Amino acid sequence: MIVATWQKCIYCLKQELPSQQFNTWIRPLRFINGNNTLYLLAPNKFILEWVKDHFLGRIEEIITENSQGETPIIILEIAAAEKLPADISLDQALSTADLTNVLEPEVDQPDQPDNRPHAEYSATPGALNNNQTTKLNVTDSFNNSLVSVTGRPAAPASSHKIQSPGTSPNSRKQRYKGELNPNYTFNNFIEGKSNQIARAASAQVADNPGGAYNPLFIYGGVGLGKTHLMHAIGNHLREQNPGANVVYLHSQTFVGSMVSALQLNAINEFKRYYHSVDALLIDDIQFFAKKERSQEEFFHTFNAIFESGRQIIMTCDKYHSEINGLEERLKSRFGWGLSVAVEPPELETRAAILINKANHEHVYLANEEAMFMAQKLRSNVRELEGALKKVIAHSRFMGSDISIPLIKEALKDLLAIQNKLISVDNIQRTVAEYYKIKMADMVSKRRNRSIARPRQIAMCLSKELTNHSLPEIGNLYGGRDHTTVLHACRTINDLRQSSTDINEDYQNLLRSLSS
Amino acid sequence: MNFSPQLPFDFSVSENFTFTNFLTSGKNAELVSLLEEFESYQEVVAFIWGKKGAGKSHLLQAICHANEEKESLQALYLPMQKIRVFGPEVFKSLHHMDLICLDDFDCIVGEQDWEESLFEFFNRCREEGVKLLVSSENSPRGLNFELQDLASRMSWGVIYQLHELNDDEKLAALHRRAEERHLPLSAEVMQYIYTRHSRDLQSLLEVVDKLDQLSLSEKRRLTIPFVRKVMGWQ
Repeated sequence: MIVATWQKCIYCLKQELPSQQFNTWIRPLRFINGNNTLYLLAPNKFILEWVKDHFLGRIEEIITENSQGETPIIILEIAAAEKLPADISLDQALSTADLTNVLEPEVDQPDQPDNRPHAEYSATPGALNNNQTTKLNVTDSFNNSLVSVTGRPAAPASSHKIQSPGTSPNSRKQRYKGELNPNYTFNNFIEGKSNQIARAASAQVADNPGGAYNPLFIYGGVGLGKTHLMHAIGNHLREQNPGANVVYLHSQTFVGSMVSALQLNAINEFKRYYHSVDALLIDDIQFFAKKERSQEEFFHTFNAIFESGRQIIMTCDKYHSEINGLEERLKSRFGWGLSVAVEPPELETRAAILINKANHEHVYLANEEAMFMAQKLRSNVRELEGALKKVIAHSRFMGSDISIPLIKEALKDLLAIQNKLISVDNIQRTVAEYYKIKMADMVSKRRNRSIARPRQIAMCLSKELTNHSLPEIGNLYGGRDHTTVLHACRTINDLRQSSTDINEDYQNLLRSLSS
Repeated sequence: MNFSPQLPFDFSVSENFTFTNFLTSGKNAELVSLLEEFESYQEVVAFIWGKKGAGKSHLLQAICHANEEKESLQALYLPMQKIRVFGPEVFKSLHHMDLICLDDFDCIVGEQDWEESLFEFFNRCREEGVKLLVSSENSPRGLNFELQDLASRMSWGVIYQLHELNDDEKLAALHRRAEERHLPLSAEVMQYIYTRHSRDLQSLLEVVDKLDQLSLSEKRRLTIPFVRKVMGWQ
């Protein structure tokens, strides 16, 4: 009866908790039916601690209320992969998967048959026992799509139905998971010298998939548009052939899916799924480095797709032969088709990107302002986009049009290199160098003006740039009293009002210390 | 049974940190305004940086409170300094929330496994429509990332510096804290505290709290000699 009790428990929790809380903390729990013991396995210590502190009391209450006969012992522990029963069968494993559509619990669910003492269940209402014909949606084992598996034992591969994108019940949130991002097209890709070859090659592949440029390997630094091109190809392929199974995913997702499939003893399903795609778009393949099992699996996936004349597109932050920790056989295969580089965009392209993005936000950005921003931000397109968002936010907040002074003001926070940890020692050294006096004079008793004035400036900067108390600052200047520090601060602040030279010196030092 | 989202955990959101009691200068008005209406923010990430004691943790917790009250975004506050004991796997399954507030982000920068885990989590958040609000002592440009992929993603949204209060504003904050505690604190005593103690706001407010308790337990008014004695200042 433990199974039924657990079903009731998660049903109650589902009713009591906001869905995000349920999904975050309860859904990842796995349940193993022990000998009058209810094992709850958390995927990591963090979730374990959280469940223990927030929900275990309530779980115990519900279990006690609903137990017929002896109340089972509840053991909450971390689910290491090796703790899964070694003889777990595929259908048992699949029963651990997520049920997307939550069913009402059935009160009198029979327990597991005796020959399966370790059957495992997800913490999901409706993850009923395996003897029933239950429709399961396996989500996490195949990250980029939902695979429906009907019946027991596991259905053959031919009965697997790949749901079309967008059928996820979680439509409240914007989703790109395993899907092509429709916002990335060739039309809104800004072409310049830095990326024109990559764009042309991508357009070729989009028009003739599985042709001479297979695989297409796009490489270059971060935020330069590799992923945009990849999605543009995918969107074009889908447009040309709406029934095509075009799969986009990040290499880390591939690795994660494979690990899940191994844990769930569902590696064959995993292989069948990836080997059957019409086009595989895999992002940032450098993350395969040093992951030997993933490389092995990807090698077979690559061969299956390539040999059947279907298209593979990959992006990477470096040329394939330069990826450390990648098997030679993969490196060589990556070079079989066409490898194209994407370089950082030049000034005019950066400005054009900004104007295009601003148009997309229905904001007017003049050429002069775009060029000004493009000159300041050279590293990558993501940073450009971030900067533009900040400028637009600032312009809206201030109720002013975008102008160069407004851009300067808005980007101050982004362009500031760092909030250095400034020490009094550093201030003393910088001021001493600036005024060409000895460092020892900062703490000496000498009181002639050529020494005392820089010392006062240093004290004032120490108050401005550090959080030391005034007595501490005084101590660090040769054991002086805090009133001396206060006097120095007042004197320098007065002098900055009356003397341009002092003010300029102060500003120069401030800039040099905080940039 | 009504579950209170984050309260009993040792790094849970403090009830004391709300937008109402966040003391700020005009320089931060734009940032505060953005955070107060964060449910309408369309990007994956927003990045706040500023000195220790500027109020970053306060703001991140305030946004969790505000969204809990408005029942708009399901938010989770994660102070990385305390979370790091759980290892980089900590992000697993957190993509079901609407908003994740990552405090002290800089403490995991430079560590390959953490950065890879966070990079994967970022991509997952983007896929699932989860927002990330990140705080750090340095701007993304000032952090020494191992993974440039993560660095560029942290610059993808808006970046704001959270400015510290100036001297007058800090003194006003001390005055306000004393008033909230019905603690008579003269301008003279306040100035005395301000000139003798570290001037980061959090630590100054803690001094007021401590003096309040000591003044009650010793049944003494707050005078300079009393403060000097109990604080051990010469």
